[in-house]
Formats: sequence, C-alpha cells, structure tokens
Amino acid sequence: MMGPLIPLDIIDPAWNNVIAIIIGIAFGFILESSGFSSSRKLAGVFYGYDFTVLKVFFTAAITAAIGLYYFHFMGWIDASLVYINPMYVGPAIVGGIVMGLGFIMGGYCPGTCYTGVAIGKIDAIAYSFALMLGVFIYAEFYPLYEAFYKSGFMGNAMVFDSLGLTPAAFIMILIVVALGMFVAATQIQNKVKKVDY
Amino acid sequence: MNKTYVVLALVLVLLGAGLFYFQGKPYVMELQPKALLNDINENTRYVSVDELAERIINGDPSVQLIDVRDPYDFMDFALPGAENMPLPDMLLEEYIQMLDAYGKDFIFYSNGDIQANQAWVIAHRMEYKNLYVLKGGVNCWFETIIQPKAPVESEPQEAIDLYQFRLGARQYFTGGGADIETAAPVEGIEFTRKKKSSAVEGGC
Repeated sequence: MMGPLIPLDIIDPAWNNVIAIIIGIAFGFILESSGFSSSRKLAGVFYGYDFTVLKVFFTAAITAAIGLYYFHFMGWIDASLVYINPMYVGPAIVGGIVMGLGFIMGGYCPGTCYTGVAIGKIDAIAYSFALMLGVFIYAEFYPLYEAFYKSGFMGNAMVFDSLGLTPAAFIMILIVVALGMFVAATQIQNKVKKVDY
Repeated sequence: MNKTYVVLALVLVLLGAGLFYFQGKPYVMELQPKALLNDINENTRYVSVDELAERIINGDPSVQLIDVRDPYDFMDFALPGAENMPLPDMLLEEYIQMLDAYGKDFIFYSNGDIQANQAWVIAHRMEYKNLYVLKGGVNCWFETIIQPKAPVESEPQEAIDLYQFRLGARQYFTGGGADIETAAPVEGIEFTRKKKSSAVEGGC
C-alpha cells in the first residue's frame, strides 16, 4: 500500500494505517459533500435526471490518469510498476452488470452507502446489511462459479496496449470522450423532468 | 454554456496535449553537474585502510568490497570478501545489479584511488546509495596493513597503538607470524647484600 513512498522507505511503514485513515476520511467527506449519500443521486444516472456521479468519477479518472503519466514522465513514479488488477474479460462484464443492477436498485455503491450510514439514512443501513449478505452468499457459493470466475485471464492488460496506442494518445481520447459525455449528459438532464430531493 | 466549464475543459485538453510533448523525451535520472561536483568535493566517501581492516576483523556484515580492477588483477590478489566489477564493464546488468543489495556499504577499490573514484562517480550518478571509496586502494593496503612502518619512538602513543593494530591486522589477513614487540623481559634486579659489619655476638 501507499507505494512508492513506503516500499522505498521514504515513509515509515508504521504510517500505513494512519495515511489510510486520513485518505479514507477525505474520501468519505468528499462523497458526502458532493451529495452522494443520497440514493437518488446515484439512481439519477440511470433515470437521467442527475449525472453528477458520472461527471465526478470520470473527472477523477482523467485527473488521476493525467497526473500519473506526468509523474511517470518526470521520473517520480514508474507507471509500469503501478499495481493493476488482473483482467478477466467475461467475469468483468458479468460483474459489471451485477454491480450496475445493484447500484440502480439500491441507489448506493459500497462507498456511498457508508456515507449514508454515517448521516443516519435508513435505506443506507439496510443497503450495508444487504451488501454483507451478498458477500456472504457469494463466498459460500464460490465453488459453483469458480471456473467462470477464473476464465478469460489476460494478465495486467491495459486498454491502450490492446488498441495499439501510446498512453498519451489514449488519455487524450479519454478526455475528448469524457467532455463529450459531460455535454451530452447535461443536455439529457435538461430535457428530463427535474426531481427534487 | 457556463464559462467555467469551458475553461476547465480547455485545461483538461491542454494537460492531455502536454503528455504528447513529454512522452517523446523519457526522463533521464541524472545529477546536475553542480550537485555532482559538490558530491565529488565532499570527502565523506573515503574509507581508510585502517577503518576497513577494523571492520573486516570485527566481522561487520555490511561491508561489501567491490574490486573495479580487471579480472586478472582480481584473480591475482583481492581483498577478503571482495566482488569483481571491472570498470569498463560495470554497466553490465550482472555487475551493476550488485549495488541493489540492501543494507550494504559498497566500498570501491582499485590499485590507487582513480579507478575506484571513477566507478563511484558512475554509480553515484545512477543514484545508488551507500557508496564508498577505499582511500589509497590496494597499494595503500599493502603499505599500511601488510608492511606497516614502525613509528619512531618520539611519536605519540596513538601512532604506536595504530602500529600495534596494523601488526595485528597483518597477522589476521596474512596468517604470517607477526613479530609484535613486547616489552623487554624484566631481568632480575641485581642487588648485593650488605655485609654485616660485625660478627654475631652471643645472646643475652
């Protein structure tokens, strides 16, 4: 965790949990202050009356990508050493659908539901219990779908490698796509009937 | 459309375009000449042969000697525990990766100072840490540890102690008989008994 500062001994490993808590609090604070602790915010992306979640997370992704690659080019970080979750194509698609359905039905993601719990939202409390129940069921029945879970392994695949692009070209495309999405989302939002919450 | 959004979108596009500029010029880890000169003038990298001998004798596990002379010289004579890293080939993976070892003090040595210093500069520029140079190299090692010069009697006690240490170190490193001078054996003090001045006279 906290690479590269802790593995390189620039920060003592004892700070691991302290930094994790500080980042966690900051993350929770930003989620809550952006209004993500309301289930209607997340569901709004599906029904088209609020695209804040889409905008926030896409902006975060682009900012992180740009920052990471500037750091890489300055020699402060080696992007090839950054940990990437291994890629399983089929399971990733199925997992995305399951997660997406869960988000729409519950109106929370695992992060925002705890900000909801923190300010005492009853639906968030119910959601967090359901989340744990889901994890439990998933773990208990794991042998049933273990073969599928491990299928389509592609290693630490990167989109720009698969497309044969340089990182900079891919990030540029991502920025343009994101900006287009922001404009389109705003237009949809203006057409859909406003929901007050 | 809101003006702020247009500005922010432009900033994003500009930042993205900046990546194209940078990707063509990979960053090279390199010390600035001024900083390098400062580090070269700094003499803290030198380790004296006495210091080295003491650390080896004490079994200091952090000592890692690196012999930057060519392999023939290395085969001929090397300091104990040294690894060979011939200066012309030091950038080969098999050699330079030695400097990745954790928790070691790497002490470069050659016959004199020059080659060891050159290796030090290269490794230092590559941002390896804990690099040292054996002051005087193998020549100085021979002059001081293997054939130490006896101090003159009028020299201070430290010089005599150092000489004693070097003789001990010589025995440690060569296994040869060290003729450590000990103080001359104390001869029995001659004394003469005083002759009794008068014969014993009869008792009371």
